[in-house]
Amino acid sequence: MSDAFAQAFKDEARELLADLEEALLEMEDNPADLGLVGKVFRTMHTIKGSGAMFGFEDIASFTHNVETVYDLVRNGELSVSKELVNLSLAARDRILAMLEASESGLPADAGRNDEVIKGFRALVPAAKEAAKSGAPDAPEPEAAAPAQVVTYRIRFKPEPGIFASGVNPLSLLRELQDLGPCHVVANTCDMQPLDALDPELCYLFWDVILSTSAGRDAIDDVFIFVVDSCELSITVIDDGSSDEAGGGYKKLGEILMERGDLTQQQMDELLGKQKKFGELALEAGLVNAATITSALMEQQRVKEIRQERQVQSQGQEAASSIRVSADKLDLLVNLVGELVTVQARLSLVAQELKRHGELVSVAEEVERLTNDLRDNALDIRMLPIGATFSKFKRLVRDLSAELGKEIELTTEGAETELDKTVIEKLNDPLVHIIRNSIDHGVETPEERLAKGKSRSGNIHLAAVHSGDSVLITIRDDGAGLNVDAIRAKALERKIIPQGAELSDREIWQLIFAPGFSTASKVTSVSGRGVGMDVVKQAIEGLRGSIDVKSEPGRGTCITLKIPLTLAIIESLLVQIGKDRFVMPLAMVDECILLTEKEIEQGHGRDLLLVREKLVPYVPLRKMFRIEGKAPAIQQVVICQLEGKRVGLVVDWVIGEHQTVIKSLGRMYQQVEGMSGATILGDGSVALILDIPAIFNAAEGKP
Amino acid sequence: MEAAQVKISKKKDRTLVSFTGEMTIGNVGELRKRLLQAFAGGKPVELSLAGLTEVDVTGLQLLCSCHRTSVQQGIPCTVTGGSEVLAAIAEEAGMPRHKGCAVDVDGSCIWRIETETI
Repeated sequence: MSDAFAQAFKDEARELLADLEEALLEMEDNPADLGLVGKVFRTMHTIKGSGAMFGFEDIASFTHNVETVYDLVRNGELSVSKELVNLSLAARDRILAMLEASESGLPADAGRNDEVIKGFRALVPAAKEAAKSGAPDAPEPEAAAPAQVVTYRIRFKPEPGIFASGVNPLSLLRELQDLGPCHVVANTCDMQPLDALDPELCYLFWDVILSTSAGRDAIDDVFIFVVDSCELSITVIDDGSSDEAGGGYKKLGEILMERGDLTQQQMDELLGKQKKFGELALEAGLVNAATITSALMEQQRVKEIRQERQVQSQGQEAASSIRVSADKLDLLVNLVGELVTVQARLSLVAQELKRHGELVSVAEEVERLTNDLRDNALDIRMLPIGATFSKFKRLVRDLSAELGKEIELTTEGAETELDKTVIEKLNDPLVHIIRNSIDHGVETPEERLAKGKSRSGNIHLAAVHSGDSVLITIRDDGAGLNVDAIRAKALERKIIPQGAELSDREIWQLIFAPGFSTASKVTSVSGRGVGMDVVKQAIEGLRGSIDVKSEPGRGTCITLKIPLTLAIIESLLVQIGKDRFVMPLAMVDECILLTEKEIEQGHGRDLLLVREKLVPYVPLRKMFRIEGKAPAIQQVVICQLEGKRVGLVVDWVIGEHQTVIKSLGRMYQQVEGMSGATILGDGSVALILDIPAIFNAAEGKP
Repeated sequence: MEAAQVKISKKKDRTLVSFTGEMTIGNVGELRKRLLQAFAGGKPVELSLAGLTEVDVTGLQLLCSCHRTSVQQGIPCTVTGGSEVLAAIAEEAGMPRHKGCAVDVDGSCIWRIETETI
């Protein structure tokens, strides 16, 4: 078996398992919804079927047991219970474990599989179980692939005396019509005028074009009793495989010849006359009109079915998508990044050689295409955040049960799209935040009732686009952050000095300090003091920010602001001495001039009065120890940082820049204040400033 | 079985043949004789089918034969009062067509879809 197929199965199974989990959780809320039961059953069935097909026998046999139980549920012999959902979720985890075991080569824990199966068996009434195990792997008819529709031409010419034997040709025709779409043409060419007519003889014969998936045997069965008293010919005229051969349909003459109604010679003679073939044949008296009609009808029918099939297959193509490995996409985005860099260089060169008008217009065209390509390439990696959200449903369900709380997770904006790499990196921080909400935030049902709140708590997860960022909000309706407890804890851990005066907002931010945890006892969920600081690091690693809001007794709301993508950002290019730096444009508020006089007015403190408000600033030239003298008029780039305005002093602001982010080599990753580098149009390197880190470093200085 | 389920009335300009009940193998022999009589009059023949309750292949053949006779003898023959029963059976038997048979030179075929007689 090819590895590619096995991999395809694994990918498919993972998706199915994710669907399964979602369906199970939904089923728990709506136990009476048979549609969901059906969905669970079908998913299990698919996993079983394709598992067996690709050699995952363990998965197939395990899933078979689960499927058996769901078959009973589907038939109404067993009802959906909490226990069933628990077992099913456990079974889903076991299937995933088996999948992963097959990847790592380590055997899955068979004992736990048996436990789950035993659980399922216990649910099944004893008699049923015996009956079921009797025929465990009977082939299932519904698994059979739908048969291909084949179109037949049937010429049915009864003997004249057929009525005497009690046969009614009409009932035979009706039987044919039951097999599928059917066109019948009666041939009246042998009809006699009344004086020559024996009304009890059969003069008609029929051409039938039948499209059916029932197969040739079914047609033979229709004629089984008359086969000796009629001329019968059954020919396949379209079996779905000959579409490609020429792509067209048969010409009328070809059909007539095939049917034996016309010879090649007769047709050639007719074709010599430049008239419509049907008319020619009719006028020549070689065939009668009914023959033509039925042949035309055959042509029409075959054409129709082929068109139908084409439309169907086109429909399938349009709806389908292809699987591409994430590595290839990453490579694509990298290449586009390189292209953006080269394009910047081209634009620069074109700018310098302005007299070559041709070059300038080509450069502009390339710029336009590059921008489109960049947007498209980044768009390919965009995924809806919904898949991540639905994972948390399970987390909330399991954790709240463990802690004896009743918590419901509601989500909003699941369709919001984010770069794949960002989504992957968001998972852990979100888990930490949600765990914290469950453990510290939402109270037990008793406490909640005592406070006059509803018995079950709510955690609301929402994602929404905001400019070039996505805002992810995690809001609970729990107790809220306890400012006094946080302050006391921070003092105890010496995170803040004795007597420090902090606003509520600053105290809330303390929960992100390393080693901070107010839970007095360590639970399996949280309380080890790692968590929120990890969250902060992870979010800052994504160049995002965290904001906390809390109302005592009403709940806490944590908002993550995450950039859409990590690969290419809009930035501001600045220069200090000969060095150039870029800073993310999303953080920049405004740029203002800084004269020597204003610096003097600060009396040695790096403060600047901007519209009656003091803004602290960091002279980067001094901080980076860049030699030389600053120009008389410098510029301050004012940035938003955790709700405050702060300035960075540079020599010149050059302008906006498309920055393709390159990570710094290992040697430089520890350097504070830099988050990466980028290559400028002229081939030189500019460092990307890590603004929060720069201010932390500046504040930390005595 | 009733012997005659057909009534022939001689009008001034035509012979009206009205059928009631069945037109099946059981009585087509009888009906054929009556129809021959109707054509023998030499006047245009109008077949009124509104009263038919059942038709089989022999019935369809008989109607077709009437048309042949009319073409052969040059006696116009029209069909009136086609019932739904008859239309459904004719459809099943594949009678309706866009173009009449070889003898149908003037397009008077009773099965022609354009004529909508049936």
